[in-house]
Amino acid sequence: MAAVNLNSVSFSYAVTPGAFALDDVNLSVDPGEVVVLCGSSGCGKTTITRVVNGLVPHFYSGSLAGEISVCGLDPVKDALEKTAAVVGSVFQNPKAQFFTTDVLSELVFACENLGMPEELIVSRLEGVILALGLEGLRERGIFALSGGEKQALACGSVYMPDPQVVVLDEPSSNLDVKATKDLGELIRSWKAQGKSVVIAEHNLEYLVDIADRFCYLRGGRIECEFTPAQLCGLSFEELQDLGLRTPTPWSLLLPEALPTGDDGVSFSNVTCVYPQVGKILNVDHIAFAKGAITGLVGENGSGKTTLARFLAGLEPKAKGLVTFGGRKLSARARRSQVYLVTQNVSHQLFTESVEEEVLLSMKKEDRDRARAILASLDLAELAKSHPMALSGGEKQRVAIAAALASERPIVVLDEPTSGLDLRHMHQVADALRSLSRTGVTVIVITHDQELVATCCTAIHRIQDGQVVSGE
Amino acid sequence: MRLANALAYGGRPHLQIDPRTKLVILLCVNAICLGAGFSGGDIWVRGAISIIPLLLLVIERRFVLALICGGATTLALVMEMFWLGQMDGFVELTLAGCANLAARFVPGMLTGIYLLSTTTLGEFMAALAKVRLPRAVALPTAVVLRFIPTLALEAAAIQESMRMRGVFWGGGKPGAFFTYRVVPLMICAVNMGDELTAAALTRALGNPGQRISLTRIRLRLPDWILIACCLGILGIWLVL
Amino acid sequence: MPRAWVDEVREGLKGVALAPEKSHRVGRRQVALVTRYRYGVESKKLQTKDLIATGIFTAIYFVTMAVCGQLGALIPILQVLGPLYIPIICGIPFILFLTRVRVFGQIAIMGIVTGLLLILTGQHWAGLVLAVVLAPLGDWIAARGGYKSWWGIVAGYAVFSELLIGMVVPLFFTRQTVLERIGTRHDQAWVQQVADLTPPWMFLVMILMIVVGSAIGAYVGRVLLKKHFERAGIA
Repeated sequence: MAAVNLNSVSFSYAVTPGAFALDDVNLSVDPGEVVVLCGSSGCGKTTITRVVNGLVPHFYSGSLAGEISVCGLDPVKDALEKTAAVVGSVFQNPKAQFFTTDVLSELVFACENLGMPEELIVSRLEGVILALGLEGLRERGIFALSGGEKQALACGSVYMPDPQVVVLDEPSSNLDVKATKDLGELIRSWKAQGKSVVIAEHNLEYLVDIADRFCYLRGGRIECEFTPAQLCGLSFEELQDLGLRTPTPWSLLLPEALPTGDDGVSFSNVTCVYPQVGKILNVDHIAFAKGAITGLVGENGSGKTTLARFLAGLEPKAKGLVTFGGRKLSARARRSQVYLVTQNVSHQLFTESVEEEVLLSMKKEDRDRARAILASLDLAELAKSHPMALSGGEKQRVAIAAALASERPIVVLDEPTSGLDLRHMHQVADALRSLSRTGVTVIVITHDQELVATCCTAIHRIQDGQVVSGE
Repeated sequence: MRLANALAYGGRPHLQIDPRTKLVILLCVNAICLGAGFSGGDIWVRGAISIIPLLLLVIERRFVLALICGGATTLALVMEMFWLGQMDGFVELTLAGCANLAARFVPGMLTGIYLLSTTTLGEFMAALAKVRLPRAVALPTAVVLRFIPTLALEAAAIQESMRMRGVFWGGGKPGAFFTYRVVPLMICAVNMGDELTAAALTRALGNPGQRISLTRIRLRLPDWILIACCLGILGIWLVL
Repeated sequence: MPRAWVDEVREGLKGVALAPEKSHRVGRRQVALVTRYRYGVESKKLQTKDLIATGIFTAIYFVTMAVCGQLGALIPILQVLGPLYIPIICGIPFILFLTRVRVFGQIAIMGIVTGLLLILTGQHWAGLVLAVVLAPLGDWIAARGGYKSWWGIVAGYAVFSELLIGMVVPLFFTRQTVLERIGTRHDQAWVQQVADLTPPWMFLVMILMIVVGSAIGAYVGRVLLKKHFERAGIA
């Protein structure tokens, strides 16, 4: 008896009534089976997870056809709360998943809502904390957790009511390598407990050993299915055609280091101390070549973002020496010479159209140049769209366009490709290459091995605030 | 973690008081400071009730805040007692009026700060539930208190991005100073709100039927003492 | 299946059309969508997602109001104009909220929660009393126009914003106090002069300022809605 059964399911969102998000989908997941939904952006994998946990049609309204059964319940006819008793959901954005403000309350939140008896909740709590390694985080507030800890907490709060089905929507998007591995181990333990797991993902690497099958979706239909062996057997060109990220990134060639002359950015003796956390940064020397794309890799919390913000002159607690082209740059000078594209690009988009956004960066408005920049980044059709209405990949390119327009010699990007599929990642890589061709020093903070392999010319590794090896 | 200390690393408060007591204190301070007049013993009543939040803040080791606000309130009250009668010019009059306003608002704000910085969201919601606040009001209140720190973080990030891009003061366009701040904040807030709603719904929020709550609140001796003091002062004021 | 669940779902379904939808074309394929479930869109009851949405927009409204109020604290002149400019800027979140208002009661709850929060931050409890009275009234006025008629919205918002008067109530007591005090030491003519400076009809002026501010604020909100929020896809 399948735990999850979708039978000829079609769905179109109310906001886009003509387009089918799901087109005659048949999917069946047994207990103890892990199914991974993959495909490029907009293919329908997120919609399937929403159908399983009942958000479609209760929260995302639209027109639905077909039969769905999840552990004997019908998520469409039954209330969302009933479905929530058997289906746990983990979402992509760690910041917006939590209803309470501290760890313990969040863990018991779902159980409290479902009316589980108190003794049962307390008895499960210890086991879940142990299983997820949350022991050290008991008394913490949620705002103080790192991305990986937040996602672990989300998984914990989903695990507490012991659901029979777990759906995850791109859970590893904002996680570093170690946290992703932990997530994989957790999914493995769920599988061993007989739960059905449905995961919509771009990053397939950590699931290759765990998943039972990979369903490839395109345009709302399941086109084909792969076993893990078949997936790893796909050639590079076939993966590119399908638009899938490689499941074997360790086979990628990472770049060598370039000798850095004096004309690049160079840091010396950078330290940053936060009162309750301690020393975040302790870098003796690190240099980035001009006109090159240098990757900055390391675990979450290792200080990369702090270093980037220090470079942009936005980190008052950090001290150190920064020279560019041989000249020392003060914090104020850095603010006008460094363009920082933050992880959440929405914080940087202020105007009402993409063209305006590019013009905003210019000291003197030049519409022709703006149009040329947009054309070079393949954004010409979107010139009149509102920046906030664009997809993640398009927003990243708009931010890069604005960086190009500002003519600043140093551009730093923080996780530009988290959550992007293959095609958009390549578009961002192309945009970065056109940036570096104009002589800009590009620094990219990323976990994305494929991005590093595609466009970086050198990488620096940072761990615990120190440079590990400039390889 | 405490409601208003979302961004700091708050520990347990030194004195554990039931949130309902804090609400009682707040209402009393509110009623007296903002409503009491001047005649006879009123000013002493106002002084007495203003001491309570100061005391609580001192217990929580927030000395600087207590000192500054306590000093301001005492100054204002003293000014009122002795100086106000001597008024002649309009300028002094306005000053006295300001002093009066300060003496009225500051204790209330202090109590508010104390409440928000020493209560967890769970305790606060448990207190509201005990007071039988209907779910239709309690749930949005919980959402508000949970969402405000997030809004603050988003606003700070947007301000920083504005500095980075060099448009902190609006960049010359009319109204840009406001719209560049307000519009991205609204859009980010609404998107985050949608994600939050989806997550909360999948955690069965809104389940009809009995909702268990693991947070326990109880009235203990310090609570009764504080409630007695407040109601006592209130009673004295009403009678006199 | 516990009874409560079933009854609640049935309740929510009242008024939902469950008739089969006519088939419609998508490109070249014709697909018949058999039943069109529109849960949560048609039901007239307050649901959890409405309450959460109310909470979120109340948070935005309250923060906007608080920041505007703080501006007034820094620049004392602005405090006098507060009843005028605060509804203007707070019109932006309010109009945005209206696009999410589904049933009656959401605006009322927004007002009541705002009143509660005002008390929590140390303002006078008159704010809550006014909110409990005015917010449902404003909601009702806006609901009469189906939350779409422009004058219904403006009138509803104006009535709703009057709860800001609650913040001004202590000023009234201040005036009383000052008058009392000088009354004991000086002669009546002087007291009369001071009383004339701050006439009781100031109150009415403030009420009017709020009405004017609300009208402008609703307009500003609509402009931003058309220019930004609808195009960004959140309205």
